[in-house]
Amino acid sequence: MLRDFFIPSVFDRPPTRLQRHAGYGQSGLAYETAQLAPSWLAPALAKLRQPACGFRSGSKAWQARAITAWCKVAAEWKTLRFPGAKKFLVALSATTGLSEKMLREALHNHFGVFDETRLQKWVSRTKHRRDKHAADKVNYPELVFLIAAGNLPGVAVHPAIHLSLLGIPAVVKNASTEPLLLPAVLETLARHDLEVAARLMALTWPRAQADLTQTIMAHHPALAAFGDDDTIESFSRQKKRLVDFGDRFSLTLALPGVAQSQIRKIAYDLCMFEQMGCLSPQAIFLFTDDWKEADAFCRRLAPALQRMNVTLPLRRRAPAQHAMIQQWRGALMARAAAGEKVILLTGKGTDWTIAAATYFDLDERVAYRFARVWPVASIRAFAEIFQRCQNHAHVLIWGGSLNELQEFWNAPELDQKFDRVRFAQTGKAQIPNCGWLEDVNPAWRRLMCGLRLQKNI
Amino acid sequence: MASSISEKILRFIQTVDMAEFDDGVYNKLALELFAQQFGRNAVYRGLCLQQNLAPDLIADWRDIPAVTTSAFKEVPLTCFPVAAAIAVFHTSGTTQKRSGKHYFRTLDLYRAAMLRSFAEFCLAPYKKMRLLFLGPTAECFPNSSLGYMFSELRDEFGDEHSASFFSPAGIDTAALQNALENANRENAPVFILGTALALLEGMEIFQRQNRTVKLPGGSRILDTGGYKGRQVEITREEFQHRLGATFGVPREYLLNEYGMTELSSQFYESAIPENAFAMRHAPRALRSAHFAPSWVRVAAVDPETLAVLPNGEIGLLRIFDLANVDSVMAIQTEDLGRAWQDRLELLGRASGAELRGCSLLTEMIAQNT
Repeated sequence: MLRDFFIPSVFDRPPTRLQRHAGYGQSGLAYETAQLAPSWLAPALAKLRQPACGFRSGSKAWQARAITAWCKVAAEWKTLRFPGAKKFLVALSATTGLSEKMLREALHNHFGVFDETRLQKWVSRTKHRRDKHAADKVNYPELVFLIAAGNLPGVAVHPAIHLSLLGIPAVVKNASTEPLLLPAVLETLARHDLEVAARLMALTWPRAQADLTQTIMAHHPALAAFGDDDTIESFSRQKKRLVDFGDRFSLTLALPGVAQSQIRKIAYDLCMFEQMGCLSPQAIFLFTDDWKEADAFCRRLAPALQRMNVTLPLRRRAPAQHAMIQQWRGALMARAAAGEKVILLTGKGTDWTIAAATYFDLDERVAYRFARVWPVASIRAFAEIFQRCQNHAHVLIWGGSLNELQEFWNAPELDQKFDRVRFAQTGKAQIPNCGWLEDVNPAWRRLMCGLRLQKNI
Repeated sequence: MASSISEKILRFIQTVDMAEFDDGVYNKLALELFAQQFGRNAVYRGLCLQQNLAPDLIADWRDIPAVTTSAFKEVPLTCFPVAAAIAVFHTSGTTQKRSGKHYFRTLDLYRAAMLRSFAEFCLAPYKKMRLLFLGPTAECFPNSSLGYMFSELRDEFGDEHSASFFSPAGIDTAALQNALENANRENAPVFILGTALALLEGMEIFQRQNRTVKLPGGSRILDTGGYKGRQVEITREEFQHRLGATFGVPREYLLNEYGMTELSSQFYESAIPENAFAMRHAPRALRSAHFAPSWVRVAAVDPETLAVLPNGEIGLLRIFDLANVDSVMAIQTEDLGRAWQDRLELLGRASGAELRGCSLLTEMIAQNT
């Protein structure tokens, strides 16, 4: 049975009912939803809340147990070999609007990074960091309230695993747009280790039900919000212990003569998750001042994007998505008509778009396989652009060799501070390693290390 | 001396029988206007040529090339030098940071179009009413097309008690309450006009204070804009129910305006019994339709291919507004709906809100905590 909640079996279960998700359309699928009320939630939270394992005495046994359990979960999810996997994939496709083939690939990528060695390494590194900053040590929170974003499936899985490895009790509020994945993953976890799973709870409720949010806040949790800037600001006004993960995006950097194999990877990064995530590139910076080279690059990218219709096929686009694509194209056509240098290549209908121009407003996001190719004459020119968006751009995807990356990194023009930026190779941008969240979010890093949140490491 | 296309359209707006549907006259004016805009608006001409389209290839208003609303954010779309503009209206830019700009060489057509359609669709049988505004006025919001519209309506159709209760500081509910009580005492019908968000806010304040009023017969309320951006969104049905309950106005006197900065004309959802046009043209099932004035046409286009769809099919709305004389008459919106040439059914507005990295669809619960 599909559910939008995971409540460990040691808790009483609230009444449930069947719910039809808007995204299911005519498919006839429905899922079980919990009818939550403060009268149920308050005692459940009181029971869930408890001292975290962290790195206190006996924690090694917990960590070993949690790692074993999560490795089993990852192995099942990586290959979609768990009971009801096929039905689940159909449902996830309906709620996310992503094709089943893309989801299969995404889940393989997502869970493929969790193995015993990596998880063990993550724990060791976290302990090392905690010890290194002994003066900032605080007790781990007894309860974390994690608010998940809903535009991509599985964004709460990484943080949930981190919390679980440290034995920090957590309640996750699922986004109502995609409420199914985390509960299903936690069901798998419970099948392998009830006790490990008993420290995590995933619930879904509509935003109008403020009494539930208030009930959680009354238990003084550490708050981790994956939200837009307004949400974060609103929370930060009232809550000091806040780990925020607001509006972020990624950028691809490439040289015009980049190999075709790299171009295919650039297309892959762009198409995975229909370019809707924070790891999706919002622009491809092409290091050239020669417009002909830009044109040639776009023409090489076009067949690679076309191929992605097979590798990462589209699900049917919603009319609103078509509308946005048409508006983005229309804006560029107007700029071209006004005499600006613009290249616009399009696939069939709204399948994909490539636009090259001498300027893009990165505050205006695009998605749905819309490649914005931005030629820049020099590293200095890129650095100037990057400086303006560095609060939001958190991953730079390098479309070249590692030697070239080294050269780029050492360029004297790069006097920016890249402390919140992660580098990824093309084709790997959407496959974050198990500690990527800490690389790009110092506040999350401090929460995981059990350090005071006010300062960055 | 032959009159200019602007003069012809102005005369058409002022004199056309709104109850009649004459596509022949409309088509002739539309093609003539297209030819002028192709000749005088260089950016638009460029856009047409990108599609290999020119006036001699177009015989039907539906085929006139449209410009996306997003284009207004990128470049000035004018048939005259921008420096000669006497007014510029800015889009509100709810989800995007830059706003679009619509430049005007004259507001004569805008004003004529707005007054004529409001009088026909909303005001009948009155010539003047007590207009109470819960929305921008030109004095406080000089770059708002809605602000201009509200101020002009007040000056043209408002009686001496008409007033605005909306400013950058918020809504003056005490003064509004006072005005409503006075109207009740005098048994004078009032017309409340506002943005949906301001009306909601006003209603919530009234409800917190346990206030309701029963406005005199003939009173009406017009709302415009959506409710996006609120923490708790409500359906249109619920909104109208609450409006009716708070102000004691029957359902048929609750009107809605659909417009946008990129246009010079407005559509109205109006089922008031005195609106003969609506009653004659709309079967009962279409009471939720928004009606276009005679100088405006609307078509739905396939969202993927932008091909014009048959009447009644769902698509993106494309609007052809003759009053947009000095910019571009054919506007491609991002709004979803059905269209029947002179009326439309609005089904939703596309939102860029989901495009904020991992953040955008996170539940907006912050204010509830």
